[in-house]
Amino acid sequence: MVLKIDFREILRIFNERLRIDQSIIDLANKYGYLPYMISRYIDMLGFDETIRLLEAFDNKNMYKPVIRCNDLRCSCRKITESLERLGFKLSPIEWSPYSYKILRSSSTPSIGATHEYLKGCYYLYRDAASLIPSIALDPRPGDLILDTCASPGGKASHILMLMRDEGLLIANDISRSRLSALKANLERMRFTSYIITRYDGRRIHEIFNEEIPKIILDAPCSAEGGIMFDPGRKRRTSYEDLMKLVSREIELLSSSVEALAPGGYLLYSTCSIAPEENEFVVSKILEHYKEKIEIIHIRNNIWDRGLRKFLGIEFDPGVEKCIRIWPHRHSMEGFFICLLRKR
Amino acid sequence: MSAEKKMKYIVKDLEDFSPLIIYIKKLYFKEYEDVIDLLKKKIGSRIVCLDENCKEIFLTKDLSINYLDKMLRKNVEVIGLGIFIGSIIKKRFVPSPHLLEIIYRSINKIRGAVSAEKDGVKNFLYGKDLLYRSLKDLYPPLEKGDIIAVLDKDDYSVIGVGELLEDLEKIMILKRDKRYENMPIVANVMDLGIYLRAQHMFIE
Repeated sequence: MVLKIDFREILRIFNERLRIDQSIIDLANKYGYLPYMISRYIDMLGFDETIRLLEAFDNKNMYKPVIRCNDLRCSCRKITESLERLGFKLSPIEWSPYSYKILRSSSTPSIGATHEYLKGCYYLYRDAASLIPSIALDPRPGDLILDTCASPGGKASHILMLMRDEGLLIANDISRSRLSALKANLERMRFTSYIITRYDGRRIHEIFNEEIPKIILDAPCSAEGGIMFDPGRKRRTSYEDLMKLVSREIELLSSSVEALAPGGYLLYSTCSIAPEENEFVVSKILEHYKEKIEIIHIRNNIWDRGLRKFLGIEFDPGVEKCIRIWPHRHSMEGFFICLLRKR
Repeated sequence: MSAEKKMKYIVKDLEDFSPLIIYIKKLYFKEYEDVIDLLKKKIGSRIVCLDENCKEIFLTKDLSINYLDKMLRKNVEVIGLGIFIGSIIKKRFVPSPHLLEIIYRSINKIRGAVSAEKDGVKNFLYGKDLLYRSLKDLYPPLEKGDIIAVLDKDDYSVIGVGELLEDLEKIMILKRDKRYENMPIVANVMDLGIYLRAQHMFIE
């Protein structure tokens, strides 16, 4: 049965532990944040490192857009040579094959409007962290994979590339406008082994009952890891609004667990550094499904581990096997990645 | 379309979808069997229209059809699958750049196409027509009114499709006439620039 928790219940759990004093309010005002956010950062990182995080969020130049070559369609060498002729300066990303940081851009055309882009030779990301979830799921040729919230297609197209366009990817989303971007991306890159569907991810178990061997759920989240790209986020999401997202994330993840075949793998990720949306969500799922679900160690975690403790709440010990990306430590958008397996 | 409203879709075997078969036979009469075989091998053998007018036509494999049936039985809206191979526009089959490029690359014979110089490629991708001055090479059969492919002369990729505005013989004559250099010769019907226009607001 799908797990649903009312956001007010979650809000109560965290609200009674949140401490906001004058020093937190002063720091929040100085950097333009809502005080609850600063309070949580200090709990996770301590004062000095919180300052480093806040500085990292304010330094947009630290983060570089990334392209991932579509080697099924174009030669990666030719793409990089062609882009360098146009004035772009690229640097390969060691941990992700066919991927390059754009260190310097050309004034025209933009990286998202070159002929190579239109011909489907590469995908454009605003940041490298988005590459990690698809790699962690380890797609193989011939796999059957469900991407529960697939738009705009960065992970879906990456998965199809790693599958060598063999097998089937069911790329689902609920938002019609975002689905048009997903469709455009998969068509542009000339993949063939996919089906795009529009359905509520919280009810995906109604379509698939324990039958999909690999699922990726990159959940729609508060984007608290991407404040450098959206400074308005510093003050936009109240703690209550955050809890509504947490409630939805729990339901989304639970529905995907129900759709997962026994022995199958489920990759959960968010572009948020909020433990409420990450370690808490995963712990609640483990608690609900008890022995049926376990967290799997992700190979090659060169970043940070998940948090065991937050605001005095102890999470499932397995969350240490998850990956945490911190902007100030890794010079990437904040991200959380966790691999689950159904026994 | 709401999920509650049943989708009307068409699934056919590739060889039973006459608009495509007629188009392929016109270009590749001798190699027809080879073209069909390679499409089946590379992509699949099932044609799907997600609406009864075939505004968008897809070619896909049997595995996708199994899931398509399952989705549609449960009223899940299906947006696309396999590869987009074209549309029926005004009762005429308009092939997609994707389909034509697969055929050209696999069979290594370009037909029913023209290639464009750099400025012509750029303008065509902006949705403009191809002009005489940007015309590079011609790949018959080419008849006035045909829907043909427009290629980038640098890599022979298909950047779009358009309607040819003159017969081959006349093009050969007018191409040498300076007075025609700014006149259109291929009217843009579909180009890859559409993908830029569809997705610019969502960068992840």
